[in-house]
Amino acid sequence: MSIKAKKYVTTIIKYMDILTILLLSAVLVLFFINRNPKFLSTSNLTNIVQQNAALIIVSVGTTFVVISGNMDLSSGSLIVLTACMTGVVFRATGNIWLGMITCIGVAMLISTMNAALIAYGKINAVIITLSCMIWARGLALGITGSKSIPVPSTVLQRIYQPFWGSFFNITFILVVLCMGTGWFLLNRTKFGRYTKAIGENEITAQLAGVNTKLVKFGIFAFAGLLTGIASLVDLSRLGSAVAMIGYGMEMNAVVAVVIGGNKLSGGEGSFAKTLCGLLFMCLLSNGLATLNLMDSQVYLLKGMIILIALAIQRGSNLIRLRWLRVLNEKD
Amino acid sequence: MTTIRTSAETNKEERFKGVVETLGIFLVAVVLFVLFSLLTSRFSSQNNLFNIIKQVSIVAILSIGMSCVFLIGGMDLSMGSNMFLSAVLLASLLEMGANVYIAMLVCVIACVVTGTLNGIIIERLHINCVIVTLGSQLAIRGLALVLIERFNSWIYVKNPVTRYINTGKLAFGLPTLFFVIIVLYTVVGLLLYRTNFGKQIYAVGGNPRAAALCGFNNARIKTLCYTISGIAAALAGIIAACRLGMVNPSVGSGYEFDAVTAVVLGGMSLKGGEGSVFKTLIGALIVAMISNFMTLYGVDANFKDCATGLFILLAVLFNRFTQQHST
Repeated sequence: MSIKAKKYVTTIIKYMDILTILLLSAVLVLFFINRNPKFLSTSNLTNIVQQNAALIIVSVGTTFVVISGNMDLSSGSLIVLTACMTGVVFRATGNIWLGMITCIGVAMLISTMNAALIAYGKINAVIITLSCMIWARGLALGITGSKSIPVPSTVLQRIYQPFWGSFFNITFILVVLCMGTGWFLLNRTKFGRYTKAIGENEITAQLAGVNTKLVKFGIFAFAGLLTGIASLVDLSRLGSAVAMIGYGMEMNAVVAVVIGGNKLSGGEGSFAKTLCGLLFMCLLSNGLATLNLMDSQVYLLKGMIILIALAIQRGSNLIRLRWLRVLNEKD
Repeated sequence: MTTIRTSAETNKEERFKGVVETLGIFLVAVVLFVLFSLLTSRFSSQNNLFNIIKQVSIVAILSIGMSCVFLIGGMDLSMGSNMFLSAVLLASLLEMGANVYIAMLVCVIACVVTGTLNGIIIERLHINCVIVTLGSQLAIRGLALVLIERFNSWIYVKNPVTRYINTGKLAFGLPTLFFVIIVLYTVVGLLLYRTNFGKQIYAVGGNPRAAALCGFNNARIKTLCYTISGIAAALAGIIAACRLGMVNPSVGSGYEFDAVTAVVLGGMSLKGGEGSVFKTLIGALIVAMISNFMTLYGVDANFKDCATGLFILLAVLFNRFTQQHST
């Protein structure tokens, strides 16, 4: 094999996980465009980004959590709780700024509480965030009585209203900002390095002098802050704090991160992979919604497609590792 | 697995420690029982106690499956959906005029298939258990919902056998379900503590590498644990259908969290390889008592969910600070 050809092969194998998920997304697009010719129209694509803005923002935090080898199941419930709190505060005081501060504040408070238990209490993140997922949703539905609270505020609506063309709104800017911050933190700061180190091997990281507890605390607190922002974005899109807000968000976020090729056991990962995974998940949920199916069929299809895609991604990863080994041996 | 015992003395010491730990959770159960009896007079009435036994049966049976999965260091969040699938299958087959025993068998077989599929995806492909079971939770619930929508989302379960399971009294004036729990826990206790398979479960959960070096087929043992969890969910679903007398789309939702609470309360760690299934039973009893008390006290259903979540948190903290290992 010539050196040039080998270089190409190595590059393809290196990015095979991203290629796999892009290929799967292409299959989805082909399938949905067959059913609905308008699937790839500009308006629908804009719609996909706007509808999933909250998911994209949450996924940034989830990427950090997954790279550090943990899991965060609390984001969906935190979104509904903070949105309901905002609704309650706005209804009581009529001051949206107070509501927004409450939203971010409650998200930060609960996530730092969880983070403290996980990092300093040394309790498994899955079980802590699982319990938070249950109690936060229960509390949110309890304080609102499962009824939606309208939040008719022009300030809040401005987050969603486009101010230039049909696409540019504050939501979009927030999405780009959060993604950019996440990318910068992961690739250009010590915090990102330490996150990867903890995911690779926590004890080694600790022995190397990293304050692993503080970094872990920071990761979960950062994820909480992003959840608060996502809650505001969703709230402004829907215009009222409904009980179904953020439902299944934690699962969508974790699946998007993992399906893109980030390892759930931690240690490696990138925002390119998360973005590809998000593309797949967004296309999937939007496409299924345009098929006019019943809820039950959507659940069934979505669950099965996710499982199949996870299996394919895993298989391609195994093949990738084997080929990488073969290539290295030849050297 | 526990460390190799070198002398009779350490054996005694360890046993003593085990007794103390078991007593701890048992004491919590007793204290809660007394507290609830004092707070509401109806709580300790005979009728309500039978009610608690019936309520605990579902959580207790789910907890059997969840314990086995926890022992190998996994988690099965699709149990509630599996339970729903089993209940829907039972109800729809009865509606179509099938024999009740055959219908129950079909339920168990269906859940064995879904449980094993979970296990195969998790263990053969090495994908994280939480994410796989979250995905299959969606898929299985969707499948069952497709089925139940053919019957307008509401099926009554009317059959002498199912009615007997709900209200029947087998002996000593105690409900049949009481004996069902005892039999199932005896079976699972024998399986875990008196067979090679049980020892393998503990070994694989405690140290997978060592177990693999000993020549155990880790993937097969772990997959079988997910199968057991499927069977447990099927049985719980059958009992839920019998107890309610009807099946609607809300059956079984959130029950996996009750099972997690019971298992964590029983002192099992997410790392696997430690814990006793009988302590899980006490954990399940506590969960059922609290749920029953809140119903009697007239607590809103949403706040009940909230309390469940907080209770998991408390259980974890309780574990964390009473035992050596971290959860």
